[in-house]
Amino acid sequence: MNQLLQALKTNYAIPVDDSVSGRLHLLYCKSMPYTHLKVLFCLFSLLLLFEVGLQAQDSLYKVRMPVFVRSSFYYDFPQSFGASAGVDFPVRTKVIVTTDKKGEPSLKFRDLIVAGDIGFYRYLYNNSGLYFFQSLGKRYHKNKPYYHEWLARVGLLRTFYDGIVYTVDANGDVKMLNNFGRYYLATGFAAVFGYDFERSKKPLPVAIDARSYIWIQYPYNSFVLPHLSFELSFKYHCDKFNIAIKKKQIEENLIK
Amino acid sequence: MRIILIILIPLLVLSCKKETVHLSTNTDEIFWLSNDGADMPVWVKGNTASRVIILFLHGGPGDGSYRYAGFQTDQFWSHFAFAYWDQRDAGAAAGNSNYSNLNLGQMIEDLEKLISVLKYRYGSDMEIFLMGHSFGGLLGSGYLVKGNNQNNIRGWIEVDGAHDYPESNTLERQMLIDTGTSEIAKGHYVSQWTPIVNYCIANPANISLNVDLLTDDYASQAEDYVDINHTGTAIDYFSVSSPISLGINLFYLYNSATGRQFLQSLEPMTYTDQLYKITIPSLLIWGQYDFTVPLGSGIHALNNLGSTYKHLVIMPQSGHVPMNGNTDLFAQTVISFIETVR
Repeated sequence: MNQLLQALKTNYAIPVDDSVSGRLHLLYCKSMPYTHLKVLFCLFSLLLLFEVGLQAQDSLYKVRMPVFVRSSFYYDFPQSFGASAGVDFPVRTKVIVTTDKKGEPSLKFRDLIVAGDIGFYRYLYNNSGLYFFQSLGKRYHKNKPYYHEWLARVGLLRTFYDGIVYTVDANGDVKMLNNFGRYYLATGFAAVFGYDFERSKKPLPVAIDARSYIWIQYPYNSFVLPHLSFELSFKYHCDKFNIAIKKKQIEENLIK
Repeated sequence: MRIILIILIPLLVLSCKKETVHLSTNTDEIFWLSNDGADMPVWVKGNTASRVIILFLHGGPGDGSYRYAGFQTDQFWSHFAFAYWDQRDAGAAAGNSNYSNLNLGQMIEDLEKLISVLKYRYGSDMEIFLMGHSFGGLLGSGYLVKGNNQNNIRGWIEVDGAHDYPESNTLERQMLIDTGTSEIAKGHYVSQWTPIVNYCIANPANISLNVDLLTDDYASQAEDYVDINHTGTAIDYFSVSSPISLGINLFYLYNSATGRQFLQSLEPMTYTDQLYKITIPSLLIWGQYDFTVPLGSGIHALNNLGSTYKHLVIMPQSGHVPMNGNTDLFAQTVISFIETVR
């Protein structure tokens, strides 16, 4: 121990005992100068003390899941407003059935979803943008109506400048360019928090959610232009839009 | 789907409506110049019916022009029109891969084309006055000494203009040392002035871009230590310009290799030996406490300009941005100049 502590104060390589206990010892010693690391180390050690027996049983079959059709009000910080429409397809769903120590089962759903969006925004005195995004991500929910999603998105953005765009040719003649703008690649992430009335006490085939996006358009003046956007969405599904997807069920029994 | 299309199509049509140009006492419109990969917005605000447009050349480089709207220039709007032009890769200017075209020669060409567009859009009888602030002084001087360009311009207004970078850097360093030493002796802001004076003594001007940029930072700070009047904070970034595009453009300019290459290329730039070519009426406005481009540079320009009608007006409570320090006096001086020479 003293040898390790002494080594930490020098620029020489720290002698390492390659066994598990030796490595834990080294990790603890490295954490010594930092209180938060020390606390994390202790919590991690405590977790290792819990004995968890896990029995899992997997099954795979098909179920019908709703396809949501979505329309949204769109806001891009700081001063663009617009609207979008999109479709959310479930691709695969996983249900984790957990039975706790009292024998009470609880359900957790993990839906793999693909989404497509088309929309526009208007940035007064600057430009209007028309965009298309394709997203892939996961929806997390339990038996309750609340859900959240994480999505990765890629897409294409086409801008149209506000006002007339002029160009001047080599002869000095001025020309107007109609509907002039630029194409950009766009990519980013989305976080979604929503409420699905389908799972409420009085089921309705609608859902609402709030979406926040961080995304970039590229290339913007040889670099990137970051965006921070928000959407308020209204989602609807009807039975005829339901599609059959694979459902995987995992059963877990937590035994102390 | 039909419902969605019914909603979307009218919105798209409305957002793409054709603009018609009318001269008005209350113009508020934007157009763009697209040139060599860059798309540059020009916001025209004020009285175009006066048939006078003040074309503002912002500083920085990279500052963007919209920040000079609001209280800093709104007094002009009832008299004349103001054209706020964001230079390439600055402010709200956009484009794709256009950084290879970022150089002073290209920016002068952009300005030449912009003048052509202004004449085309508002009529060839529109009187255009160039107002160049800081780096805009270099850009404006470069434009005016080239060929017959000044024939398109009714008057030249240089505001703390950096038409001679090496001279500005030398005067800046000397003013910081002289003023700092004097203020330290008086016991004013001693702890703030001491590192500035020490840095300037240890680092001669014009030896490197980094030294000159840091000295510029010190020059900006120094205005606070001589209690320069900075009127309000009504800079209306959110009116037409996004702080995100402004910030990204500035970040890339000052932190990328190509951006710094451009800044480096400006370091030896001087038009002092060509100022005699400028013969149009000229007004020089300088802040008395401008450490960035000190008053000496304005006096030197006054002596070298070829204009018959030329004046230097000193703003007594101002630093590098006299439209901020002496807002009313600045507006009165410019309006009086334009009314006299138009």
